[in-house]
Amino acid sequence: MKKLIVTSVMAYAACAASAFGSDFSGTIGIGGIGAEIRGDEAKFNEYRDINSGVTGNFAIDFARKGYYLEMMGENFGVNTDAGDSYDTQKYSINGGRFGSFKYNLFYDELPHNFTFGAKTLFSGVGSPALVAPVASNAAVATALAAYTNTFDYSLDRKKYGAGLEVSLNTPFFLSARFERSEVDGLYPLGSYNSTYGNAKELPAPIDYATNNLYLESGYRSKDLIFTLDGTVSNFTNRYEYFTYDFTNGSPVNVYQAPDSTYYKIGGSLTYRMPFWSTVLMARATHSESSNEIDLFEGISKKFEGEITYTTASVNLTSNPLKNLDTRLFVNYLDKQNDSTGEFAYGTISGNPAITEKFRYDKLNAGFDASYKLPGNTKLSGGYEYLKTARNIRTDAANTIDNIVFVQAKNNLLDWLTAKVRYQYLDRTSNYLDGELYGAATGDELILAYWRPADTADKRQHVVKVGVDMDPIHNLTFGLEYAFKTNDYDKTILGVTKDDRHQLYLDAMYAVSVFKFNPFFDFELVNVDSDHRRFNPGNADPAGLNDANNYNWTSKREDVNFAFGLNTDVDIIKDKLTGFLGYRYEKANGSEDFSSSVDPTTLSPALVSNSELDDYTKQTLTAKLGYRFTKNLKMDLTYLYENLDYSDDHYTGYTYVPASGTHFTGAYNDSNYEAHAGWVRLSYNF
Amino acid sequence: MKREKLRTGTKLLTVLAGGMLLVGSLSYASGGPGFVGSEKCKECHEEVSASHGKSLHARAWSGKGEGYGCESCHGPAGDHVKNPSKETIIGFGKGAKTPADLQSSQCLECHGVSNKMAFWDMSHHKKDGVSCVSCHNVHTDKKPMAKDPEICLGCHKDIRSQVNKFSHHPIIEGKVKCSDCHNPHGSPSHGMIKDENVNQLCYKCHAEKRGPYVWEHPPVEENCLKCHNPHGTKAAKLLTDKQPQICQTCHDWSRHPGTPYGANASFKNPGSAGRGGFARSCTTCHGTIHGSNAPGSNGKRFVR
Repeated sequence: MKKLIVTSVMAYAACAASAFGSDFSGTIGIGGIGAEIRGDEAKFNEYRDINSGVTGNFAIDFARKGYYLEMMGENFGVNTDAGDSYDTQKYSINGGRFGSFKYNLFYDELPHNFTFGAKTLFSGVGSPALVAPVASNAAVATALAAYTNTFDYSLDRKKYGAGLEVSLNTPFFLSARFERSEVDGLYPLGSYNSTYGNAKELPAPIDYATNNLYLESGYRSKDLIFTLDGTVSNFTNRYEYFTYDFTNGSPVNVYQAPDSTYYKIGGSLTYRMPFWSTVLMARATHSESSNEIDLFEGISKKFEGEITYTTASVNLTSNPLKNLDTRLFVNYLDKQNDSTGEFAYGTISGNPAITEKFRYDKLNAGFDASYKLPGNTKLSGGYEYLKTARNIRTDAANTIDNIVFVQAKNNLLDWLTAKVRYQYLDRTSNYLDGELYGAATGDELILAYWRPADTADKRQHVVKVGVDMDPIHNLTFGLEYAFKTNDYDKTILGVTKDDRHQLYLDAMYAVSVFKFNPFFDFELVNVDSDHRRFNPGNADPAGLNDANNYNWTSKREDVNFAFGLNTDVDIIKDKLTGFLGYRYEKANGSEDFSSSVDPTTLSPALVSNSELDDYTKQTLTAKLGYRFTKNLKMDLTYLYENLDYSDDHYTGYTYVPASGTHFTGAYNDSNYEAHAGWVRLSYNF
Repeated sequence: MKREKLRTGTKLLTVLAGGMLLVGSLSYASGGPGFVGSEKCKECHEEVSASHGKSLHARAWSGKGEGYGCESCHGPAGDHVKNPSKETIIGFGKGAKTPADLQSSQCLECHGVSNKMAFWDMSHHKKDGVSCVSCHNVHTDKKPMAKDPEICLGCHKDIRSQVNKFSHHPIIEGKVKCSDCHNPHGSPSHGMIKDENVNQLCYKCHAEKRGPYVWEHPPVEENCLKCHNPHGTKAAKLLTDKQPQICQTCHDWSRHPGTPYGANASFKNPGSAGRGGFARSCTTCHGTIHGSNAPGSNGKRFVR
């Protein structure tokens, strides 16, 4: 497919060039890359393919009498390190006639690298049948230590498609777009099965494709825009499940994403009313995703999945007074689950496991207004109501948010714009577990105290301040500060409070040959939570207090900051340009514990986490561009990148940390240091 | 008498209509009252005029004849010629004296007739006084499309910080654009996203997450953002917090969901390591957390 698209692009370019004569412009470039990566190459190249080799790029534009044609290609060439093409290559063609029609074709590759050099005791990596060459867990450690074959956790995504929009200079239009996405590779999947004891990290084979077709048609005029749109999507997975087992064991099925189809129809309306500059904007949609799955493990049954979304949205904006802008809005969403009804599918603790169907609906409504006061001051305020009703979540059957905000913005001075905003959120949930289990005994008693953070009652305050100024000619300065605090005042067990401070600063100083852009980011996050650790039968927080049943408190803190600068210099006007960029980023997380029993008596002793996703990353980029002639240019680029990552939960990594638990090395040791250099020769015409 | 009045009125209307038609025709032919033509603008704004000649607007107007030029956007420049100042012309950009909404309304004269602009009037950008030229440079660039993500991150400083974090969508790598998920010109959805809700938007690229599954994880089905920040986070997989902490904000039950996982509950204590404390923590076992079709507890607890 890729070859077909690339050939088409080149052939089309040649035809178009001859058809348009010399009425075109563009750039063609060729260059080389040299890269040296020490450490975790997968993290360095997580979404990139910076490896030694030769690459090319082009961008060609044609235009004549309202017609246009643009073609581009980038990152194509030969990756000599891998002996393959680059995984980030991209091509596109855009063309059409202004106001009449337009079309496009594209091809885009994207890698997602997780870990290179992982290892597993299972054979058949890449296939849906993994088999361990040993008979039991006991022999795993020895077998794994001797295992020398390695593999890479990596996914390659290829996306391509085409689109067409036709209006023929009329108010009516029709557009169609098709895109196909193919993903294949290996993904580290955690799984557990009692047959083979404890956790297994498995190289899950991935090979799936998604076809999306989008259609839209409608009428567009100054006062009325009306559209109808539709989407059809089809997802197919080659490996809906795969198996793993020991040589003499029974295969265990691990389930992955099922095939599915999806469609959506929608309609939008925008109508400008002849009074108060009122604009009515409305949209409604209905969608359904469905599939059929043949269940075979312990049951022979066809599961028919069917999930529908129905949405409606109405917005009304107007200017009833010269300086007054208002908006009223109502949004409704209903998610229904009409999949195969509740049925017994396997067992849990010897009892039938009855499937559940989750559904919810949301009603959101509100208004806001802004009024322009004298002195270039704009005062805004608003209210928003959101009610979410869920079925099987007895921990939050209904959640109601009430939100109010006020905002003031002033730009009386030409060189200064300042904005301040305050927002308050009041969240209450209908917590049925509290009612159902308040008098309960046993483990369910915990639900009378526990509140999940995503729906728990809370009071939230948010303050934001923003300043943009140009105090002197050529100098701009920006500041943004936000403080957010959540107080979960009804929570006994769960997250009780979290605060977040965010500060961002940047500046730009530009003189004729020099641009200087420093920046600074700072974030501080604190999260407090209370919990109970208990064995079955001891859920009561006021109950048993020993090494297995105790209350504990967590206080987490994240301090993240980044700073750096970007500098552009015209070293020799119109001849030699330079760029120097540097970014330093540091994240430091920690978690302190306290407990109702002596933490040193616990097994293992409860010790604070001093490193939680801590990392330091430095990036240095230097570029020089030299223009030999008006058309010929050479660019030299150097990149240095260094990542130093540490986390208490990865320190001392071993492949078999406990009996029956087998890891593969996924995400272990993300540290890297990389140097890369590019030289590129470009010809403009 | 009545008939006489009617005749007189008809005559007056005919003369008035004819006069308007004549004036209108003359105005159209000359560009209208106060119009001076692009050549006049070029006398003072030669550099801008030259760069505009290479712009997309110039290409789009190519062959359309007179009437398409500087004053199509800047309005009649007659007064500006007499008194060259920012107050006498419709100006664009930060230093202009023209209010942001009036600047945008000039663009919307033509571009308002677009389904992509259908929800502009309710967009946060319009409400916050962001005009078209805040993002689009119509003079100097050959293509006036906003440089995405650079132009977005210039204002959205918190997002600029997030997209550079340890775990992020490939935005700074140039493979995902802000406009892939958001319509900066407005949409009926929160965050100006390009679908009716977050999950449906995410499923466009991550169709493998949409199921339907036999066993669902309700927060997953309700909103991907309950666990993920799509712009970027310091925790792996775009999670808003590290595991097991993020899982423990919702889950507490006997044994391991309610157990604290300190620095010792990891590889430092081989053989006795808790289930939640090492490597990827909860998803070390619960790998199918987005949904499962496995039977029994394996499916309901998302371990197979």
